[in-house]
Amino acid sequence: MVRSNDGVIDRLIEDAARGRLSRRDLARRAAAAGLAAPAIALLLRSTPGAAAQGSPAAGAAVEPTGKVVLAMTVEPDTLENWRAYSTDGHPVIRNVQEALLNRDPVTNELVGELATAWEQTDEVTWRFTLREGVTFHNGDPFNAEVAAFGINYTWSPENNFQIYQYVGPDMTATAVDEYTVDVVTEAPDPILPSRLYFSPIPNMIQVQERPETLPDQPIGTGPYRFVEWNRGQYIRLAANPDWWGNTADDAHGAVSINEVEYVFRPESAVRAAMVATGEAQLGRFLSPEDCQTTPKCETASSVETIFLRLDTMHPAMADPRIRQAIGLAIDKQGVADQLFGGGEAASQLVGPSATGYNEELEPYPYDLEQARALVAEAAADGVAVDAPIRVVTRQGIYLRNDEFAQYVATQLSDIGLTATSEVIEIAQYNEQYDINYADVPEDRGWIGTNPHGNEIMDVSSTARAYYSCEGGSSTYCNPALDEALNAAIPLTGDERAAALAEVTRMYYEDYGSIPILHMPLNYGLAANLEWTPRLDGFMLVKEMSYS
Amino acid sequence: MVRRLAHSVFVLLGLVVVVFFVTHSLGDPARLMLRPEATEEQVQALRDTLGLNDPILVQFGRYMANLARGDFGESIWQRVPALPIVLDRVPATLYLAGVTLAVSLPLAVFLGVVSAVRPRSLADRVVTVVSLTGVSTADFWLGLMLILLFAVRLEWLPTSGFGGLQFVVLPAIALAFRPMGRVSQVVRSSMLDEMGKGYVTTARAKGLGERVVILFHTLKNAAIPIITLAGDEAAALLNGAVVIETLFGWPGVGILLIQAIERRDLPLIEASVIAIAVMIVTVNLVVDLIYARIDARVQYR
Repeated sequence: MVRSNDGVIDRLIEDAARGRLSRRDLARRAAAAGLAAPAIALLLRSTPGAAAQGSPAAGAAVEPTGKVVLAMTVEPDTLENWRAYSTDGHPVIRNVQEALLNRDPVTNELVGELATAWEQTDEVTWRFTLREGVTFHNGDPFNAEVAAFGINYTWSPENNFQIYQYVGPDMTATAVDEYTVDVVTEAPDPILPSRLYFSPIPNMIQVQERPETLPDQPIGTGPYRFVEWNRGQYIRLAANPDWWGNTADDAHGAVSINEVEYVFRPESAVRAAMVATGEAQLGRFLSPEDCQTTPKCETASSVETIFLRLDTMHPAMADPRIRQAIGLAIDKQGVADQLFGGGEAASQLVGPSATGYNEELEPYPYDLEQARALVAEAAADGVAVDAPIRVVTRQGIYLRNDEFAQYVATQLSDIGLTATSEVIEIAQYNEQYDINYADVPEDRGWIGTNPHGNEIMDVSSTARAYYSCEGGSSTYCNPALDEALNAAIPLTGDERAAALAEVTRMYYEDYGSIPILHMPLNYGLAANLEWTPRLDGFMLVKEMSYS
Repeated sequence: MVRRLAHSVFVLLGLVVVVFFVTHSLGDPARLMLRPEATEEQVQALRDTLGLNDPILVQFGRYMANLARGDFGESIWQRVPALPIVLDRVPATLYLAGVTLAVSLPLAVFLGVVSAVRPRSLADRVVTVVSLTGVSTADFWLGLMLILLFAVRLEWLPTSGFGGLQFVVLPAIALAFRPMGRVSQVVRSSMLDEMGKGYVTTARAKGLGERVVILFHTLKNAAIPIITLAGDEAAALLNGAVVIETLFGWPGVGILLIQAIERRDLPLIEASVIAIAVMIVTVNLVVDLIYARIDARVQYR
């Protein structure tokens, strides 16, 4: 087995070195030959000739040409990086601004972006060596002072941006010299690099002197510079001729497309029609049926998991039997197949890519009889099973969310609970969703139907936000779980994975929430656009090219 | 005329008062304006800055004074003055509404007249079916079908977006069906009423041609209800083309208002409502002026 693979890998290396294989194809074929992810990463590093993502080889300065129009669902509210980190603005801002780290699109491993090296120098200190010769689009230099300011501002407890809840222990960044930054955390944080990949570095002078321009005129160091935002119509970017990646061989992508335009069409059929007619080259988040009408439909796994977040202080849902009954009442695979056109039934809020994913857990079974029996048993014990429950969903948050909420309410009524479904407008929903356990009125009775994305790919961030008594979006509280979580956070390696998997198990066994499915995402592409969706959902134009 | 204008101004003033008190009864504007993570101190500081701790009548006086200068305040969402955001969208709304009416009204009058001239004929039945279909068809569905047929299948027109004439055709057709259906039904019934009257018989007895009788006598007298309904339809287009604007990515005032409501952007909501109200009041004024023009009995003193 090993010997036969050796020949295959030799051929792969040869093909890649001659530029016949893209990095992605190289990684795919290596995986097919049985290589483990770390070995694939090594292979990629040792084969610099491999073309980045089917685009011109990284480092080879090719004159960018042409334009790509990306049909998106919702126009962003803002392009400030600390607000757009995981929302509609992210596909724009992440092309304009860069973070210290990124992920390899194929192996998902952390790779350098504005940092070229990083190491943990002691239990609470991470040292980042920054890339030299990088400038912002307006000519301002990028250095350690700028990086430290950006980190401190974005993750500051005083600013308390929504993104702060995903931070581990508080962190303070300081410039050691012009191109070295130390990030010191209040307690050991082994996954700090993953957090720093999450949000890019803004322009320090812009933040300090022209903060009013941050929402709609972002300045970054990225491969594309911001050109224009005509609200209600489009956002335009243009290739940055001075991007450091044009001359570097570790840019993990190359600028081959000159202009980028984002347009916003809430209706999936219209986004698909735009791709089908050539008005757009990429349509994001299409329904499975609409995706099939485009020249090239790419369906990808994502880090997004749809789940039911239960108000566990509610008179009915405080009883674990009722929570279990809710878990049993939903046909998860049926929902995935019938409503979302695919996807896997989920047993936890994160997918297998996350550290702390518990492989032993199975999705809660679908068993209406048992669900009815549990509700009846709880009722006989005096639990207020008729306390009203509202299955709520945020307007337009994902395709068919309203139908999903209706289905859940119907199922819950079927097993003897009193449930209705509601679609709520964005501001009201967010206000009600992003509050902590202690602030939720007992009789609210919400079942939230948000998706959760674990881009950090570590259970600790999910657990801090949703499982913990202190979580900014947590409607669950179990001091024993908090204790286990706090003990797991400083750990590393296998020990960390095992401890977090145990936290996942505790949450699962107490029916803290009801995971439904890992959401597949559909993208429609023009026939000649080369791009493969990433697991983390990033849409980086440097990873796109025309064939 | 002056009295009619004064009436319009009075309507607008009434609306301004209603908008002020309704939007200020939705909750604490300072809390709405700040992000959810804001502290109580930040909320209080903003309340002081905005003068929200003053008596409501003082606030109202200040609001009216600002309004007189066209100052609705800064949009919470976009952080620029609210009125220019709305004014930027007004041309797109007027463009779409104008083309829709230009398509639907002449067609509706033609179909209604054809139908009324030969009641219960095949033509009448066909027109009735067409107009009722127009009234009953969901514009969202119709819009999607138009995109699939004319943009995807035939490739004659763009799927969506904002721009020259080719961009306005599909959304205008999608919107035109309803006014065309409703107005043609009113034209038909109004014409039938008029055609039974003595002056039509007299005109015919004088030897006038049928075309002259219909176009210059009957239709003119049947025009009042038709114009009333056309005014209503115009108002509806200025106010409520949200679905079609959303579907086609058309940057109109309707979709802006919905976005402002979703984000609880009070200054932008107020500016959008007032802008829409001004357009509708203007349409009503024009309709009234047309009444006076075509019917000498209608006078505004």
